[in-house]
Amino acid sequence: MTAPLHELTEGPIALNELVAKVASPRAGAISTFLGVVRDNSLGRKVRYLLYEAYPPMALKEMDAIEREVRSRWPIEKIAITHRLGRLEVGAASVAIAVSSAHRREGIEACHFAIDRLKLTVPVWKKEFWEGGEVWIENKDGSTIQRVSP
Amino acid sequence: MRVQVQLFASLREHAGDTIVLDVPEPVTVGRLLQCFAEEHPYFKSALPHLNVAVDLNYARADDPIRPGQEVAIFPPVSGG
Repeated sequence: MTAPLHELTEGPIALNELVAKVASPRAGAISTFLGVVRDNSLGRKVRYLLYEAYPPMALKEMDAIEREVRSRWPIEKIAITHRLGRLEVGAASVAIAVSSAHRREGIEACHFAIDRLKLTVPVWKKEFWEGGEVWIENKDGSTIQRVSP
Repeated sequence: MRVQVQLFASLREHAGDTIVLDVPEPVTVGRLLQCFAEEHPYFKSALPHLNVAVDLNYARADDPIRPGQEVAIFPPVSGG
């Protein structure tokens, strides 16, 4: 049984696995993105991050991103993996791979997908830094989906 | 109507994985949030930024909530 295209994982991300998932004889380009944990955030020295998700909805939103990508660009395949749990500085938190006949649509689709993921996919990160801990909230994201009270 | 609600991130840390809210009829997403703020005033200022999902879809204030639907409340997402 082949692995699903979009996944949440507790273990390290292997980008080569995403590349393999999207490989296609019709693709002249495979475009990839890796989000990686930085050692600093708004002047704070980051020790590590903790990621959590609402899994069934996260996967559903990843499927929605694929549909949106396909409605805009002629790609072959797209694979998205988000890692959960504790991530040290330097660890990859999210990976996206897109295969396409030509590079332009692949690169653009990849760019769109990560921008969209950061707005819509129900995953949250908690930052543990030298002086404390804080849940990160991407307030820009909520404007798209925000429930007006 | 008693509505079971899944919470995530800072909400979960403060109030637990799952809570039950008694929401007056007609039950809407907006009323659910009001109820949540009343039960957990700690999050009152966060209210305008909170998201609600019903059956895994982002919902709006006017959307109804029916018995048996899966409901979640969560803060702005920060994946990636």
